[in-house]
Amino acid sequence: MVTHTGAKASAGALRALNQPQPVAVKSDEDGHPIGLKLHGHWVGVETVSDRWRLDDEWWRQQPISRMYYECVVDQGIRVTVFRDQVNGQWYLQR
Amino acid sequence: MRVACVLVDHFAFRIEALRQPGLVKRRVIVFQRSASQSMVFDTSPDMRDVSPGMPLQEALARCKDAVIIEANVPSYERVFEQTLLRLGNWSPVVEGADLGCAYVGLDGLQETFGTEDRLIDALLHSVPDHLEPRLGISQGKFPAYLAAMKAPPGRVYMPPQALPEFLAQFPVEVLPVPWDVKTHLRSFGLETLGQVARLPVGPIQAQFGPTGARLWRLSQGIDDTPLLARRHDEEVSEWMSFPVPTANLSPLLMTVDHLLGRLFSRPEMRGRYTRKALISGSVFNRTPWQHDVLFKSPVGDRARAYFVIKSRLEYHTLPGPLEDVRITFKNLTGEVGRQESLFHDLRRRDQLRDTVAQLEAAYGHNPIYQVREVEPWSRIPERRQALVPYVP
Repeated sequence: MVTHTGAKASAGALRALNQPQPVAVKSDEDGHPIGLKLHGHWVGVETVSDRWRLDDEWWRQQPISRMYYECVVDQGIRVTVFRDQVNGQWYLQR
Repeated sequence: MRVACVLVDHFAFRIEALRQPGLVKRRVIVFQRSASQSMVFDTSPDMRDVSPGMPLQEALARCKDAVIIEANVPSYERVFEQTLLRLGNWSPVVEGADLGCAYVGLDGLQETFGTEDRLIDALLHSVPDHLEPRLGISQGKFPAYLAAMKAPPGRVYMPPQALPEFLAQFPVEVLPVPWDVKTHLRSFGLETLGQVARLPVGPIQAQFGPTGARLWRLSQGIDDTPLLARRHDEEVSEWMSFPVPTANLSPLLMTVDHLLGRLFSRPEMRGRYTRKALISGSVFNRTPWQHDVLFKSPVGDRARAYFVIKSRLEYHTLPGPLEDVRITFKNLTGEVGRQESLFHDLRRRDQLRDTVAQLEAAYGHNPIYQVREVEPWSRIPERRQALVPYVP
């Protein structure tokens, strides 16, 4: 098991870009998203155009296991969200 | 490395006592407002049960008869800065540690002064007598600091040759290590530096890591931390007091214009530009006011500086009637221009470097980042790119 080094980010270090942001999601019985809370407003998911699973870094203490959904919401806007299979939380992926 | 520590304990209180001599015989708490609550900044020397960093409410509960005064930190820093400048007349290596504590490098100075006594005299006289400076001289910063703590006011103390014996009496609280490490030491029954010094280094290092090795070396009187000579940031300053405290903008702007005229006619400003102006003033019955004005590009003439400061002050609310105004030019620079060149890239890079320097002056660090591909092949989207500090 590879443990986290505990190193903290500093001003002179690399800063991660496009970090996933937690998002509130309503899902159906199968766990597929049917509504997202974007900018404080709930929007309905018109269709899920794609979905895929990502499993990586299983050798670390905090493995990555995500179920991605590419959702089409109002006015044809595409939004990518994923459900973290480890902690059950939903995130917005930019 | 022979080091002198010039120590003025209760620095803030002593400055306040100079302003109001009636405070000398009173129990005084100097406090500082922060966003959520007021904290103790300093106290008079006789207050053993109140310490800096304690919430003001708790301090007042412990000492109900204390006089409370709001800290005037810019003024303390100004006095300390002047002290450091005077110490710099005697040694090229002067490090300002905390407010009221400075280290002076003594290596190689004996030949200049003939005897160390003359040098000691010069250092002690660099600090005004009413601040009651103490001087400690030893090998390394930490032993010099402890020697200064032991020195009587206005005198010097040089520990004996056997440094560990001198250090042994001090409690572990004097160690410059985090508070939890000190608590941990006490929980092991280690109350003094002597008790720490008697242990082998191995177990202490095993328990506390690199901090343990450092504190063990300090307890032996070994401090090889280098003296960090302070960078002297040149600045020029002019001030003027009002006949009666004023909260109106028009007399303030008139005074600002006058002070700018005086500043730009100073010999230090000839052919030079400033990146930043600090406007400050004493406020009637309130804590002093301070406002930073950062120029978009360095300014070298009165009219342009006045235009920028005026537009900033017009949207600024004064905290109360001002008794005086001071303008300080900081981050002085040589002449700057925007002349076109055949070598556009070179010129652009110079301009970028200049802009980044300007932003660093404003924010204390370079806030410009560049997007770089780190692991473009990564399946995890947030791993593909990262922001790196931009260096032109």
